[in-house]
Amino acid sequence: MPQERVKYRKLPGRRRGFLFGSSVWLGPDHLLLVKSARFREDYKRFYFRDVQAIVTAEASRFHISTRAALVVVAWLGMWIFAIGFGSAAAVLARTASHVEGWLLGAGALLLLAAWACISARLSCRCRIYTAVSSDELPSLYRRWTARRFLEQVQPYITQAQGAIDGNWAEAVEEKQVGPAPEGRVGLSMPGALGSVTMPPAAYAAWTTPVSAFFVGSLSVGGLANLGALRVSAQAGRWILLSSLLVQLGAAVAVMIQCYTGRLRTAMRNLAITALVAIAVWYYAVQIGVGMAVAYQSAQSKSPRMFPRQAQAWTLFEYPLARGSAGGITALLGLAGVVLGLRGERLREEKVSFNV
Amino acid sequence: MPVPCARCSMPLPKWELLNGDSANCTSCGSRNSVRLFPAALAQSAATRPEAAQEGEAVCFDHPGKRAVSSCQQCGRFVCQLCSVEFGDGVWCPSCVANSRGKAKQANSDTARMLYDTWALVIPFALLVIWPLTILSAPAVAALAIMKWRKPMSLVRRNRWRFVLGLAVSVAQGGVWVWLVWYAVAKVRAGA
Repeated sequence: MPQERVKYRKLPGRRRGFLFGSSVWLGPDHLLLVKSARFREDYKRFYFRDVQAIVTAEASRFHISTRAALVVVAWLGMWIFAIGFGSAAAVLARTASHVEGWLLGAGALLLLAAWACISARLSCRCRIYTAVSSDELPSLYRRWTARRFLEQVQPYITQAQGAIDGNWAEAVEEKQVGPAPEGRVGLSMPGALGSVTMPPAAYAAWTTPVSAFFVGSLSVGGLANLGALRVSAQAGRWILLSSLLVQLGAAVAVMIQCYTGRLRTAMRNLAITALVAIAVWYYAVQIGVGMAVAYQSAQSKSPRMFPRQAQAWTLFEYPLARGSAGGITALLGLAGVVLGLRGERLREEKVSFNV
Repeated sequence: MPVPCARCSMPLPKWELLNGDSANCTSCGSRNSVRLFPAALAQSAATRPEAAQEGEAVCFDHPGKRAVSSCQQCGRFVCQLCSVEFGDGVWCPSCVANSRGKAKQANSDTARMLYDTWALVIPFALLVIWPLTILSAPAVAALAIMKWRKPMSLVRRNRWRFVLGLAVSVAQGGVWVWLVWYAVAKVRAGA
């Protein structure tokens, strides 16, 4: 029997990942959660009459959407163009006086800071509960989107179920929101604390010696690179290389600690961001300086096939490369310090609450 | 069980929810905003079958429980717990279990393969290894034609991916035909 085609309306929020995406659509009597993996879509329906609760929790979400990646690529393209063709001579003279490059670099840092700020402070996790399911809505990872989503969805659910009269917090204490708990601790279940497993996040620390070392390496390395802009090119190169190696090692150690459940995911996200930023910076510098050298080589009367300026080691000597690396890592270090302090504050609040 | 935190699933403190719709999780520290609906309060009553009074119809599997409906397949009485809403009717758990294959077929809309995305991505992706387009062009054209009527995504309403993929693969095929024809003509002219 052919099924009648249901018309869906798109609801606010869409997660656009490189491989996986997600969105929520409004049907005549249900919400449709669509999780896509490029060549396949999985669907889950939440009928209005079954929805028990929609809960939004403030949480950091360092998600890089395909649109953000497109902006990064466009920005890098402009930067490379500005450095490579705009002022090849300035770059080759190893002076950092190129205005366009600096402006684009500063703009990129501002964009990065804005993205980090939004990801850390204005993001959320949204879950929808029915009697038999508790599902995260991955497309709702920014707070303003979650707010708009709720504004649009709530009237439909209220129309199907009606509204709760009086104080629901008292009433819901005796009920169970969401499916039967497996890893959850129920306050209404005496003796349950010893038998159920608490999620590892409850035990994981906000900071560990390894994460402190990672944040320290980012901050100190970044400041050292910025401070060493006036020293000789070779000394600057070694400072940059050693700081990058330490930062990479520390980032990997942080990820291992998070994987083993000893550290919270916020620090892991910072480590991933640092690794991605260092990789992007490395390729941008290689391409930018390579193009500048090629341009200069083409202009000169006796072009060399492999000029010294294009060799991988010497790329790290350019003040622009060292300065941008220093700026990026110092900013990430600052983000790490903020994360650590926030975790410390939350821990103190929890301790005082328990006391 | 109170409302769980959306981040760590630990219960939110009731005393904060009494003052409004938001609460700080005591485990992870996240601020949670809660929208609760009547289904949360009605849930336990709905899933708990009521005890049958004397003279009332009882469930086939639970003789002490009041029957609320009868199975549309076998006619057995079912209680609240045993009634399974299936399509437009109510089935008993045995009939659902016996018709597992049918049940899967009826519920096929939980996932779909996006053939139109395949048809769009393959011709463009294989441009990187362009000699392979001699194989991919006819394959994609065949895929687009064969899967044209297959159900697409539940939320997309047109077939532009199929059309574009088909157009690109036809163009790639055309270029290959022209290249082969050109090469043969060159060889003949040389001979």
